[in-house]
Amino acid sequence: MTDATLKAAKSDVEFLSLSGISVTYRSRKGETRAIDDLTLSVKDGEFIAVLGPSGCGKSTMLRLISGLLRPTSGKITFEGKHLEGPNRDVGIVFQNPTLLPWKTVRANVMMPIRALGLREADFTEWCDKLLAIAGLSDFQSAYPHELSGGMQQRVGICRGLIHNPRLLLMDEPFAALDAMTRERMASELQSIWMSTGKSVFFITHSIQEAIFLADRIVVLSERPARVMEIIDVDLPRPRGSNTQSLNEFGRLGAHLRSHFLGDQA
Amino acid sequence: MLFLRSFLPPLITFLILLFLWDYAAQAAGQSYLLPRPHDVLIALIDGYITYGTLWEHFMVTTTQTLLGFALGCGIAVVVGSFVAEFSLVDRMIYPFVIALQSMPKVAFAPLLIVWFGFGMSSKVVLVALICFFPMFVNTVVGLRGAPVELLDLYKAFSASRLRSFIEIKVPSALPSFFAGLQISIVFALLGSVVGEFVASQKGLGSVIQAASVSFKLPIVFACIISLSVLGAAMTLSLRAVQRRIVFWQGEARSGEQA
Repeated sequence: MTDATLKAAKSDVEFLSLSGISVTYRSRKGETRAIDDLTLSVKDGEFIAVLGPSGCGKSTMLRLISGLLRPTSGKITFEGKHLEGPNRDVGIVFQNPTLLPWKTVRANVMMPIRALGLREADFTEWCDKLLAIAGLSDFQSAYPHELSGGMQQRVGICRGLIHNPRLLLMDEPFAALDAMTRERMASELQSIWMSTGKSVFFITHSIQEAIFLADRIVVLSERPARVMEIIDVDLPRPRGSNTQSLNEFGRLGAHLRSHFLGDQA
Repeated sequence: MLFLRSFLPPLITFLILLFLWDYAAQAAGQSYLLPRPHDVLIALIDGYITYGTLWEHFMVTTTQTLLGFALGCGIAVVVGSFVAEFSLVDRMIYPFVIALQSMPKVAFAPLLIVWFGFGMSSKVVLVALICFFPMFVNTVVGLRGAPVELLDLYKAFSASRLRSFIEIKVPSALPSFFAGLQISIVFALLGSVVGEFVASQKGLGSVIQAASVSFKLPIVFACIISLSVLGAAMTLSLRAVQRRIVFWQGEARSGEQA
């Protein structure tokens, strides 16, 4: 997909919006507020990175958007509708690949289709295409334990996209990988995103990764999570090895870092 | 080369032990207390080839062990699944299971003989009772250890509970499930023999008892060797099945080392 058609695919329609969300967990020790009055929205085809210190309630956000957790207060709308139950229209990629070790790569990718009770035959072609995009075509009948960590995570990404969800939720998907693989995966994710045109909600605690990938970066505070700032990243795409040397990249990085270093001082 | 590396060292140990045994038997000089190895060999040949009298007992012990094992493990898997899946069942059953677990199950043997008679069925029940607990605990632990993320994913896709049980929980529990079977099979043979000691007409345990009372120690040794062969055969075949079904487990471990 060229840059022009990509722009066209991105509309200004906000198809996911969280408004005034608060989440409070009750335990024996008392109440813990994980998220406090959080408001943000995702546009169609947009790549949003959520950046925050670890343990700031990012994973709680993921459970909210996938409909597994109801907010204590506030409202989530998905495609104009109030989100009340499990959200079938999201794909999730976890920090660890969490593949089924007893299934082949292909069966792992097809897993959501079976779970959703859809016809597998309708998704065979799309599965082939995803595996090709992720460079896994030759490994589709391999088992997870035969793959490297990076490849396993790519299987996880394909699995997240197989049922054609409107939104791909990614929870620090590259955190368990080594630095080199991590950078390569980021650029592969970019090309997967550009060729599928999905919206991505990418949770991370890496500033570089956020700038490299996102259209907009949502900066969260420490627990309880509040939105501190939303930054537009206006860097040309596709972003590659040169992107990091751009002045804008450095400026954004310094700006984002000031948030977290400032907090500690 | 392979033969030299893998079979020679244990063979040497075996020969040394055999030699020491024979030496000790001769030194003791009282062959009715410690028979010499070749006496035991003769007893084995008589029992299984010349007269074939041990076959029947061997088959009885094998059958009752396997039946009890299958019964105990089968019930454990069903009960364990309900306990792992429904918290109400868990709260109703778990305290009793924990209380019974620390109790030596062989203490039930005389009672079971009274209830189920001298035949095979009392031993089958005893073996089942012994096999139940390790299998039960491993089933519960295995089913509960299924990756939370995948279960959440299934929930987000509004897949049914039965579906996530069959497709995620059961396969995830397989390694733990086989660990339970491995422990149970060892205990099964133990229970079988103890049951036969208490009261029975057939089985290797009853032969051991009858022969030791009349000081026919070569036969006792022949039966003990039969039991160890039986135990080893059951454990090894279970392991072979495990390697086939839980193929990803061993591979993953060797992959980590490489």
